[in-house]
Amino acid sequence: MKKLLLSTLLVLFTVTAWAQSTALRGVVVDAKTQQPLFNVTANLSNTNLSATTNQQGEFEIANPTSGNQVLYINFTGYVQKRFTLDITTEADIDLGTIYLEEDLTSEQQLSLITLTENDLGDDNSGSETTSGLLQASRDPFRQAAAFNWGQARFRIRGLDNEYGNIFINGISMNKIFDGRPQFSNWGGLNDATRNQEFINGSIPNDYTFGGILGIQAINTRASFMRTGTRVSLSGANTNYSGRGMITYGSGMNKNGWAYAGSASYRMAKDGFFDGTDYDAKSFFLAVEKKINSNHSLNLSAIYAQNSRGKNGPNTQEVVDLKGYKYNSYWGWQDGKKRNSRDKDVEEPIFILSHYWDISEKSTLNTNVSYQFGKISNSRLETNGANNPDPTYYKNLPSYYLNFHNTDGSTPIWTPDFKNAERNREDFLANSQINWDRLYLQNANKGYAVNALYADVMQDNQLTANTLFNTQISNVVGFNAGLTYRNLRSESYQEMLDLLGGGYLIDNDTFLKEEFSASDLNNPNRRIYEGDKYGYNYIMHANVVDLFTQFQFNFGKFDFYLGQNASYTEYQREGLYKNALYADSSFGKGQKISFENYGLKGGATYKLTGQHVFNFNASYYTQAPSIRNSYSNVRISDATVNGLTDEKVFGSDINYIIRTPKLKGRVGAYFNEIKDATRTSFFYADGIDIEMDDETSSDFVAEITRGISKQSMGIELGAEYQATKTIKLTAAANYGQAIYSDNADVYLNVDGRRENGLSPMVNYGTSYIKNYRVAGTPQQAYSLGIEYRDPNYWWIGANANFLTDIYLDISPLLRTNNFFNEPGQGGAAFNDVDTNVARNLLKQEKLDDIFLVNLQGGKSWRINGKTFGFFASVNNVLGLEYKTGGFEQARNANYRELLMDHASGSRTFGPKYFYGFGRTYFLNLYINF
Amino acid sequence: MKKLKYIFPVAVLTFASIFTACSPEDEQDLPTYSPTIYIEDFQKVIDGTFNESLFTNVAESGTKKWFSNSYQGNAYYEFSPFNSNETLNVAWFVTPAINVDTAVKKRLTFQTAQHHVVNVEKNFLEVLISTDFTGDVNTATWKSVTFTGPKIGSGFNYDFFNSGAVSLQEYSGNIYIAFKATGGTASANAGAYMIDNIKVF
Repeated sequence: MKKLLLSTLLVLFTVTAWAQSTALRGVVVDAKTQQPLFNVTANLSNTNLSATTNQQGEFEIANPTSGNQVLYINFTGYVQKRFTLDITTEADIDLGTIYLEEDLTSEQQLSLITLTENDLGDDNSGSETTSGLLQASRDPFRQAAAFNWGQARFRIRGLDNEYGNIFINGISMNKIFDGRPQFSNWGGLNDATRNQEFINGSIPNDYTFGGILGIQAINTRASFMRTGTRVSLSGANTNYSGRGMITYGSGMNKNGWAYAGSASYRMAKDGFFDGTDYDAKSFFLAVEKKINSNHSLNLSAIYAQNSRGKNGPNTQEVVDLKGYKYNSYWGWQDGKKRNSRDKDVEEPIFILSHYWDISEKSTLNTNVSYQFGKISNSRLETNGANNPDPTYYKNLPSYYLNFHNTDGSTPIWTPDFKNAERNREDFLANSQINWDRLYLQNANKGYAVNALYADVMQDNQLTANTLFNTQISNVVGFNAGLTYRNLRSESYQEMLDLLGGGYLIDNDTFLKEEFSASDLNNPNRRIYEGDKYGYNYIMHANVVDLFTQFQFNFGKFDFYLGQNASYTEYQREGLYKNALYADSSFGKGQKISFENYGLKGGATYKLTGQHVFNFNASYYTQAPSIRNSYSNVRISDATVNGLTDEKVFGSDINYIIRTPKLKGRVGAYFNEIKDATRTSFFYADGIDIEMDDETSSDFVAEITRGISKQSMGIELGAEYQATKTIKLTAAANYGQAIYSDNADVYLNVDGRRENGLSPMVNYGTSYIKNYRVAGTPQQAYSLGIEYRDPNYWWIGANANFLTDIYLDISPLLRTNNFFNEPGQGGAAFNDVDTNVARNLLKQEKLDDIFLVNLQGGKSWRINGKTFGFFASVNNVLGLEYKTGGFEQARNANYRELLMDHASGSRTFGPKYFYGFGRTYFLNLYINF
Repeated sequence: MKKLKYIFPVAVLTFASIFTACSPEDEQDLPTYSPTIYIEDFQKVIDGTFNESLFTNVAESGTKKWFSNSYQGNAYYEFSPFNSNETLNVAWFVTPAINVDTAVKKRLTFQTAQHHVVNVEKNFLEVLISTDFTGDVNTATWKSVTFTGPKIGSGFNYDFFNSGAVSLQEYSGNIYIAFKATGGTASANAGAYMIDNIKVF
């Protein structure tokens, strides 16, 4: 293979050696102001040939590849221009003055960022599991996915955002811990991060080999920032109610310096859901120095501090009683709403970049970044006191409605309506956390039986990379990149507030005394506010990644090949000696390492400049994330049994049309992921863990191994310029994402250590084949209309239909354990009816979603200043809708589930997430 | 190079065939289980419909036999040598024939309890299996099985304990399961044993 590639390259060199030197040039100006535009990108599609405009708006591409080529002129905030050119080797091409029109709808982007900040309730993860790569782009399909479907948690190709990559100045923002980006790290800096590039799927990019979802690359170079000052004020009723933002860009001065800065503040006393307060301050600074025509240095610093109260998913019973905005996480204290589940993110990023134009055709970009800080998620704990959660199952009517007499071999339903009604009244009267009672209980005991703590992850990450880009000949472009990442991540439990309780003893009171110490080196320690306790460990990770990429351009026909090799290494260092894992919790554990490879390729065929076909395929292996590598990383260095690489295959085929009136893409995709691992934690009842004591309830880690996922579908996105002022848009996704095979489930049950047993219990096969992968509507359709008045105002409306939305299934529920009577040596329940079982295990399909959104905006130009506003109303019809949810694994067998269904109001029913109801967003801005 | 453009029709065909081959199947498999082929929970004792004649209930030594009993809605069989006035009591309680050929896992489970057992050397419970039992416990061949018995001590009186899984892999055709209890009238040996929820699966 290598030899073939080399000889191909040699042949290509000789073929292209006698091409004459020509140039392609033009001048780019603002259509409205007639001012030249600086740093506008002009690039020839499917080559590495590109140029940016100078202060005078001029650009020149030397020796453009001959044949039928497409030139793109891109500038953030402006409508893209496209030229179809027939380039010959004989003459220069001068495009003259190119007028770029400001894109009024780009203001829309500012309203969007709120969507990506919603937590989907995964407490163990520092980052967000929302739809991947949600941002504005020029692709009509992607626009619909971001603006119209994002609020319903639509995921492109059904993929989690760990299969995409987000870059800021060439540095990957995906966390090593779980492979996902932490959007809060740059949240609120919409102006500073508006220079973005999107690449679908495995199509070549300059930064990485890339996942099958594609990449989003943010560029924060000071010289690329919009010159001038921009101030904006917004009001909304989503996560935040108010936002102020100011951004300044100096442009490049005569001495080669450019500066940019931005600051924003977002706040809400009470967000859309009850008790979700919001407080976020974000700052950005960038300095660039152009040393000479070949070298530039840029330093960008981003500091986004974000603190917000979360809202939790609820069961149907709770929603029926309290409404979908109900949030059980908060309670009144001294006349104020206090949320017990706060998420605080504070992880500043510093990126130093060197840009070197080695020659007209080669560039080298080297970046070094340092990011540090912490993510902390708070919650309440109790030691022997009542559970403070108002929605604790014993507080709800269904607890009594589903009462059974279990003395005989088959349970008999004995609902207690009187107590159910009493519970209903109590819950309605006491449906928030009672902080006063928690304080009182502590005061009575003299120590903290209730306390507020945080799970903290404190990262220090150093990333360095170098990205080389060259056009070897007219035909061949070459990219290479080498990246090194080093992470030191300390995780611990931190005491935030003893709620007047004086102190807490660092023991796990649910365990026998000899196993209860969190740290045997420091037993029975008294914990005060600010102390670390419970668990404390450092994760060390090193990742080296190399990629190369060849792009061949033959005018009508282009193709590319990319390769990737990486090495990943994790090592856990325990700071506490936990009594349950005295031999495996303290000190440095075994290093675990992974070597991974990837190969991708694709081709483009230009029938004419207006009709293009392309085909892409990518296969790579991927190291499991830290999160999925350890069975209980907090207190032990034991790794998941049979830990293995994930195998990822992605492919798509597309037809792209670009006539003057109609632009669009229709494509089909097929992705397959094999050997994925997933870990989750929960409290399990009714699980047959074959312990010798009679209890069968425990806090467990569920590890699902060998997960196979398959997603395929058809994507369509099109925009049609019906008249000069009216544009119609359409987008559709007809997809299907399923588990394509069964998986294996293990539980890690710490409590078994008390009895000298291995904590790992193998549940064998989980029959999840052909169940749907949840987390996204699998079908989505959108139709929109937009009117742009020549007098700089516009309005738009779109209607969206989303369907095939499924509940996340519990793999544990679908193992053979489902039919086994606990403690009975593998005997099945004696009342098993397979038809009933089939109904109990049927995956719930959520209701279809129909969303109508309206937007509009206007701008004025007065004395060289631009004033404008953008307004939108989303979900105009005010539909209440579920965006997703998950089955509680707590009732893990046939009998428990059957009893839970007895009254029709489930105690341990699925928990649901809801979308926003009708929301508005109004943004006023001024540019000067 | 021109031929490379055939990659597109080929890709289209490949996609079309993948889509057809992987078209939605909404059929999911249920987890598997081993249906219980024999269960005796003695609950019919409560309304008097339990047919003890299907079992063999004999005293090998002394006169005390197994008897039905119930507590708070749960019925079971019990053996008690208390007040027998006999130094040695040995009683057998044997199930009807159970054909294990249809059992998937081939396992036996049951529950046992005790009350007032002190001396497990002279007051104990055995579980035995025979394939050639014809009604006379003395002429059949018995093989003893290992199981988890009830915990001994006044704190565990009347508490039922799970036997754990007893493998029946070595058997085919009909088997007979015997519960054989031993004790005596002496107060140290006069504790009682109880059995319940016999299952073969």
